[in-house]
Amino acid sequence: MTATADVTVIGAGVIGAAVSYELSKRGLHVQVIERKIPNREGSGTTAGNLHIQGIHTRRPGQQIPVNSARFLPLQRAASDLWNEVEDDLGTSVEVRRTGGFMIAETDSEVAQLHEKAIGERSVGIPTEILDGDAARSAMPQLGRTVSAASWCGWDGYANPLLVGPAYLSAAGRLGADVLLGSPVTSIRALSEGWRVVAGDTEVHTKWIINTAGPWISAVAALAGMTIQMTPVAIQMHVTVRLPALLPHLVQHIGQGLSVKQVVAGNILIGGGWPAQSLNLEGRSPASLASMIGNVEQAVRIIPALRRASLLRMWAGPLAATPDEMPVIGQLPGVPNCLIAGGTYAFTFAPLWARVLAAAVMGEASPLDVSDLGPQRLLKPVTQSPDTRPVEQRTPARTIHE
Amino acid sequence: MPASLNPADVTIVGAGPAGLTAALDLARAGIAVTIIDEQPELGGQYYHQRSPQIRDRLGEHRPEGRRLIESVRNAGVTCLTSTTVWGAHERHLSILTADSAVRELASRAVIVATGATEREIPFKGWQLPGVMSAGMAQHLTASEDVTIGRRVVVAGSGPFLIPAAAELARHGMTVVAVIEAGRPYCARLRAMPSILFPSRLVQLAGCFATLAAQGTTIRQTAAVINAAAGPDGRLARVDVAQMSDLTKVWRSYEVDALCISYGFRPQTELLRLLGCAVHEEESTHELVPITDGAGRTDIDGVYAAGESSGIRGVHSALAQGHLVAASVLEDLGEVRPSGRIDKARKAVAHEDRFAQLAGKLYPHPADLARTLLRAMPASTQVCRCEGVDLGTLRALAQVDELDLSAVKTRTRACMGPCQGRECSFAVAALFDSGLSSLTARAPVRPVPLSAIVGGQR
Repeated sequence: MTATADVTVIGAGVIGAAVSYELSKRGLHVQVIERKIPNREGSGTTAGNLHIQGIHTRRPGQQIPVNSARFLPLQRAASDLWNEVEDDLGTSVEVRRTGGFMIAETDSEVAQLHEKAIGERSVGIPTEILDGDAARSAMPQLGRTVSAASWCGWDGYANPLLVGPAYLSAAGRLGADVLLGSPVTSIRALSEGWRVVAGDTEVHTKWIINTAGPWISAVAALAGMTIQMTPVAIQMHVTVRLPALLPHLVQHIGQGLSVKQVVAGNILIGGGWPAQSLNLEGRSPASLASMIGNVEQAVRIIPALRRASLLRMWAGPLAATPDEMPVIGQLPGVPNCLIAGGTYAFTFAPLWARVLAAAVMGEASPLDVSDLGPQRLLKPVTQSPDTRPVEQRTPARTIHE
Repeated sequence: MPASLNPADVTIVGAGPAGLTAALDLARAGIAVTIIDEQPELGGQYYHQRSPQIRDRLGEHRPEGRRLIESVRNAGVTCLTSTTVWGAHERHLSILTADSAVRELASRAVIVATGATEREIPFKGWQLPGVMSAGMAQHLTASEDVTIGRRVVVAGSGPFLIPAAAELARHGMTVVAVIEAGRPYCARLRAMPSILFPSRLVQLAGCFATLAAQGTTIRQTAAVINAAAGPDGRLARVDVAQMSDLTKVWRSYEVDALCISYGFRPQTELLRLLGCAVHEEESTHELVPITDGAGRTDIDGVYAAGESSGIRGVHSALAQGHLVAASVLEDLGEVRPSGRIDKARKAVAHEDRFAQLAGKLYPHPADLARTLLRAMPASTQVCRCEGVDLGTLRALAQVDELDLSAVKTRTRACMGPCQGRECSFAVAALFDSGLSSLTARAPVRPVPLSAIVGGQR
């Protein structure tokens, strides 16, 4: 079967679905190609946090920290877009702007809160730093070890199981075609545009957008590009449903930890703890040690969680780049081919969709993200040796598997 | 990592007929065996022992089970009861102990003998008090001496229906009717091979006689389509339709209890967590582990025995217990007992033939589920954990071609504490989808965070 499209989006995760929607809305004919089932991997296994205030910079075991200051203008823009997502899609995806606390326990963590507040102010993200007692009186569930917390009323979450599918359905209603269960096997440049083969379908397309998550490198390789990604598997934990207990998202500035109570009443505990291994053929197995480390943190910061029971844990891929920053844009010299992925893809999905759509339409980008383009991933990144003490590298505990 | 229990040579999960048999054979061969069960006493569902008070009044229930349990205890097997295995990786089991601590247990070999759970096919009103699974009813009656109701309907499909009804009748309850969706009880040609299993026929005849003495009506090719509550909110009436027209109420029964059985499902979560290959059994669409016929899975050191490797009944489970013990002994480099093995192998083959025959007599469970669900109203609860109704699932079934995992994430069906043990069969039938996309995940049973944190001390 041969099809034609203005844009072929490879990978129906949350970014792929969102950009398919944005482009369909602009009247382009989009062909989505998904190797398996939409929203199955990182997009459906992530925590679903909307990170608006400055973030913690290292998952447990992460070697190179995120440049969190660079994130702030992006977070500011993403925050505005998330306000519109549900109206735009005409359906609930359980967006809750509950506000969130980023807590600190040690003196150096408190200093980090103050430092990040300067950056937040400069881009117009409203945050406020409370000392431990003030934080506990604002949210009595916080434990004794919390010595300060920064509050951002714009933080929140959405349901990652709903967001991607809602974008994809909306794109479908606007005329996008979706090909499921079809890994792309060949990409060839034509005199104008590209020929993409997936299963027994051949698509002639002006543009390619590679949003294949942990398979970004594999897809790029088909088009003759060598993109370095460093995907890992991270895991999440969820408790049984509880009556209303946690009104806000709670994160930790110095450690990988995020806790919130979702619409259904379950409490989600995450923070980027590593799974046992990354398995891109099936499901990545969760790690017992990571679960225990993450749960210990959560119970220390929110002691009432002791009463909850762990319902389930799961792991999924995080399409990280060697420098831990998002990747979005076009390779110099490869026209009509865009790439988007990397860390914090869920928070940034609506923003990346706008940036990509603007690039295809030849419009000015809503934000300057030229420094986040894929060209930096072409050459090997030399990792500077980690000189910090071991206990600072893996915040809560060393992981033995 | 959590503190570890003393490592065992062999750990057996599940102390039913298969697990106990294997434990005894292994212990007698000098192997250090630990057997784990969720229940406070060994025995599993089939050999569930009566409490002393009830035993004094009614005598023993399945005394051969008590003898087997005693032999296992006397053979020096470490018995961890009220203990849950909630996770597993590479022959390491994650355990919630009786005193609510999280522990790890490493073994040279793990035998998964976790038995079966009942297959549910939702219908209008199945969540009412007074409606229960036939297995639960039988357990309450036989082990706990509880009268589940004065007037009872037993409905569903499969070979368990008549014995379950007879058990209730023997305990003094009035079984008003037995409603069987298929047409197994007639002298038709395909039932003829059952004369090869004379003991089963004698058993069945005894059950029929008990029911006949009570005046129980046996209805075939019929199904319960509605359970209605009385003013007290409890079950008061059961509406039955003929399979030929499931929209029309054919008979109604005023009852205070309804027992439903659509057969049993192998409990394979631990096997799947351990990475064992499974396949979809043709006759049921259930996932069963792929074994070598003597309990070995494709993962070294991981074995399956009893109903968790396919529903074959107690005789097969006992024989499989012997076979798996022999396999483990051989693989550990011990001398395997010879004489019993051929007999056990024959018994397993015999029961396989019986299961095959029985399977032909009753409707295919997945087909039956599809047929029954088609006739149910949209408000029928399908996933009781998460409160997902049939209408929600039907609407999704029309939109996309989704596998079970996608249905789960989109609707929350199968996402609750039971991890789909109750509803996944029906949801899979509804979407005409296999069960294999539903990933087994730890914890298999919810684990208190206090135990996880406390386990660190």
